[in-house]
Amino acid sequence: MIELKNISKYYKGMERPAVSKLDLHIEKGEICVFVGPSGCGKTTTMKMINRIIEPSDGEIFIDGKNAMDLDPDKLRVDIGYVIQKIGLFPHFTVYENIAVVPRLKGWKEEKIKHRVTELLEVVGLDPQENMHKYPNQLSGGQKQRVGVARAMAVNPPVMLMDEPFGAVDPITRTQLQNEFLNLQKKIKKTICFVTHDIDEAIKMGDKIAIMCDGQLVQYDTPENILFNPANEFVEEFVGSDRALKVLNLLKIDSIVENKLPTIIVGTDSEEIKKLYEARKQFVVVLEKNGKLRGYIDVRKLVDKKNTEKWEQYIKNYQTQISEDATFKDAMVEMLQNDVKTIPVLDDDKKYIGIVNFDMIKSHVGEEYETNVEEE
Amino acid sequence: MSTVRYFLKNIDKIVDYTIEHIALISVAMALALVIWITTGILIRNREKLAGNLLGVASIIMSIPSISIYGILVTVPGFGLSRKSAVLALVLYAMLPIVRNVYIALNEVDDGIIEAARGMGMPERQILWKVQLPLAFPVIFAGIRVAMVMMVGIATLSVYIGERNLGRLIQQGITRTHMDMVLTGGLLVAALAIIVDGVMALIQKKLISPGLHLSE
Repeated sequence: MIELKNISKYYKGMERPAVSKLDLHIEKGEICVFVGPSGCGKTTTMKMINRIIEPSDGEIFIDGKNAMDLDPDKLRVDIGYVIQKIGLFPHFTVYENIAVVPRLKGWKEEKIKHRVTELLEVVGLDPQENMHKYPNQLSGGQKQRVGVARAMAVNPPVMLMDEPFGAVDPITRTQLQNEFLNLQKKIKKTICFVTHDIDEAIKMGDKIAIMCDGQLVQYDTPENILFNPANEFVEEFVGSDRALKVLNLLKIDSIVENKLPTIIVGTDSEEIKKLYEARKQFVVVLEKNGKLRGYIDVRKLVDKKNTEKWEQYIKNYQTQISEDATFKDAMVEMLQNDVKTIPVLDDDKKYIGIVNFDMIKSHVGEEYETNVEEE
Repeated sequence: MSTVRYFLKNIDKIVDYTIEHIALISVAMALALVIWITTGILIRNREKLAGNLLGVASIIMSIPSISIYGILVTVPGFGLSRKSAVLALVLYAMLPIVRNVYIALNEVDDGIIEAARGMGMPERQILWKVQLPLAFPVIFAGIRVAMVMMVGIATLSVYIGERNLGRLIQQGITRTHMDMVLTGGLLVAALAIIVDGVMALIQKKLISPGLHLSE
């Protein structure tokens, strides 16, 4: 989708090139994160894709077309661009800001209005309330949402994002990252994302390109970067807490298991006795529609002869978690609530299974073992 | 009281002078806007040239107005004419207008320009739709200063044949006619204040509400 071929950028009076003979292929619909220390050439590389910076050498193909042959302004209209400073036009309303590229493309005002409304909803801002506000009336997070909406205005297949969440506080950043990942599941853009934060890279990237001194050091999936760093630089850059970062990467949907027996509310008390005889203890209770209700301790019920009105003794889980949460999220919940087992729900809040501490531990261990053996 | 009497008695003449006064500064301002705003735009990316030009503008600004009129009168083609009067005013407007255009255009946030460029806005559109509107408050402040200054300096052009409010002051002094001097002085002062007030109103109307909010 985006293909960089032997791209270099030299500046006069500099000892080494800012970017040196870089080859990179970004697949359609993937987020490729450029990461590295400052001065590594990551931003320069990204800005060469829409020719904000002209490459000194090499070729860039976007969707098979040679970007060097196109008029730069025409090229840029079809590439969404989000920068850290956001760069909203303060003298334009939110509406006018988002309308910039559609107007450049000569859209009719009615179509623009429809699109702006749609986009504001997509990025989680009430269109009626915010459309006619000026950027200075918005919070940092809201501005960044408008920035993202503006970049997506004409639905460009490719987006470039230069530290897009760098200027907001950590809480808003996490929120924006999660929202953006959810959005990306639907829009499937080919995205080139620059950050200096390895954690953000691991979280956001389908692929990570680690750069150093103008060169591509490793280009791989986050898993492989964590488990098989190409050299000492990558190992150091990723950090000594690689095992912990893995927790942030792996999703619990890979280990969730329907380990515990389940029972639906309204079931005859005979079932409880059967479960007891089958030497079960904890049983997950579900609503008829598959949603989680709580759990019961079968042994206690039978011991105290409470099986007749067993629904009265359902206990609530202190916490629950969604299937696309990470291992880290699950462990945080476990530690904070002092529990070992957490029920996992899908997007519709239906119960899928449970995770517990041992499952996480053994899974991470296995991953490490297999990867070390491969080496 | 006698000043009021003088004013009422000579009202026709005073109205003529006021109209002449406004006519002179209007012509001068119209020319100054075209020339100096264009200059400011052209030098916006040429730091060295801008430095030199602004240096020249400061020198012009520091020359006493009476001597500028004196010098212009000796220039062939100008002499004792309205051309000289206008040219002097245009020269005085150079510093406040060129400087403010140059500084304001260069102070527009890089991020905003980069975003505009990154979205595929042509350079010309970036200038007209982004840079100039954002620079406008500062540019307008420069124009306002120039305008008020012109009201005052125009009074001295009576020495090279202009017939405006300055004439009341000049002739009043020669004739030691204090009512005449006072009428002239007060009217020029009032005109300057009114011009400034009108400019303030225009400024409010023309600046995007999005920019007011940032103040």
